[in-house]
Amino acid sequence: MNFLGRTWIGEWLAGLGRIAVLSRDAIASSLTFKFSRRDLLYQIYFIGIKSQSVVIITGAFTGMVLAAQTYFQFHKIKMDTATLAVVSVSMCSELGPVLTALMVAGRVGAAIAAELGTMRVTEQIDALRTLATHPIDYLVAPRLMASNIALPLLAIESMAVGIGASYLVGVFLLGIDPAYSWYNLLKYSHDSDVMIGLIKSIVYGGIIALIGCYKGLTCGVGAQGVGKATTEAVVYASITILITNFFLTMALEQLAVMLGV
Amino acid sequence: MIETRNLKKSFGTQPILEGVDLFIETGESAAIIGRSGGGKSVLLKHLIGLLHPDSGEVLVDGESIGRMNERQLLRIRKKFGMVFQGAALFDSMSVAENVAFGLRHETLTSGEIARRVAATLEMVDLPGTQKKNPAELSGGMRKRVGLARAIIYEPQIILYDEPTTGLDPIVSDSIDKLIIRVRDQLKVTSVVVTHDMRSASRVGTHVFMLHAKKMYAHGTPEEIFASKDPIVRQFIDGVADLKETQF
Repeated sequence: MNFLGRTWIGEWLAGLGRIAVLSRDAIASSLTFKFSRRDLLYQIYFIGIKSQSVVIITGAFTGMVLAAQTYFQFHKIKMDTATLAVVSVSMCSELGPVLTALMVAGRVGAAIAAELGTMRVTEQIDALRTLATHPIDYLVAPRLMASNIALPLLAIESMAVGIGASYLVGVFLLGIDPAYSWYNLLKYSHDSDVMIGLIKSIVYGGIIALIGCYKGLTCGVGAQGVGKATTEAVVYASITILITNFFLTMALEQLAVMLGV
Repeated sequence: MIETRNLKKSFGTQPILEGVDLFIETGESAAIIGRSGGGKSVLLKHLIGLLHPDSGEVLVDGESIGRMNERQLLRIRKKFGMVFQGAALFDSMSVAENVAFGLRHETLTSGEIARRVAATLEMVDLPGTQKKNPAELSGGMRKRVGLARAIIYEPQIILYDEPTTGLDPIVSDSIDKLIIRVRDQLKVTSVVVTHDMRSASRVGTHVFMLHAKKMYAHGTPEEIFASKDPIVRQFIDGVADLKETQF
């Protein structure tokens, strides 16, 4: 066991164990509302409202480029009016939630890790503990809850903006027939696509908040430690989102088929 | 009452404390002295459960806290206030919000909270600083805000981690006087970790000396300052071995 503990795989397994314990405690704290409403609202503002610009720009340009690329291929086989349907399904079940999560991971995950990391190296987290305040209740739970609330809303915004932008590009720039496009969009987009996107967003919100908090709370000493924690929070959250996305897609699509939705 | 029994702590392969025994009576003012890097702050953090011992026991009012989890410790920590070496003020909050933080578990009106914050800031000689940001404060002012934050909820025990380190002699003197004022007015048990001998002699009714990872000597300030023990003498007189000053 000692040998395992000294190897990188031992460290990795220990890290997984620590983040699992943090997740358990944070979820328990969130479900029992051990945090103040004010802290939750501030975090929703920081994670949700302040991420608007990046999410809107990402959603809009992704929808636009996806419409253009799809049109260029579909035009060759006279399927122009299916363009918006492809964009819609892609934005709802994949690109909306995933790109939103990746952008928020870069902005919010880094900020959470840097803030908590700085608090750790300046003994502010120890100060919290001496003031009979559990760091999970005060720091992690409101961020986790806020992230779980904000991410689905941001993803919906991204989906709507992406589809809207693709409509503008398709109809006004590329000259696709608007009536048939709209008909096909509604025909091939299902509630399940939006539901899959929303479920994914809730999971990604949890990943961003928990990895950001974990990296901040366990960061090394000094400015270098905070910098490393910040970088790792973004990288690990992004990779985890991409890996999780594959398995979630497979599981949720299967579930949708089983439920017949 | 605070007690440690055969307290041992290592970080990695580096032993820090090797069987420390300490007993501080309720209402007593204890100064823990010792060389820099000697484990004084580590010992202090064990007393409030910020660190857990590898072996041995930490007892607060007869209750062993060494094996308690973070949530169980919250109840014990309500008895404590702690002043950190770097003040550890919450830099995203104003002075008033920092000081009022300890009252967040109590059901008080905002007017009552504001009144208690003002009274506590008055006690630490910082009236009217409520709206300032911690970044606008000097080192001595930050320590005093840290002290105000630690005493506002009237704890039974206050821990001070190097309260005068990095301050000029006049500000150090004012901090010492504040520690004595808080001790006498609030009737609290004080534990002051310091390597400032002048401060230790003034604020401590009992002095403990940590040396070679163990509690080496203890007694009243008069007894410690009159000690003929060469290790204690060397520390009190501030005499370095030549090999220790080579750089």
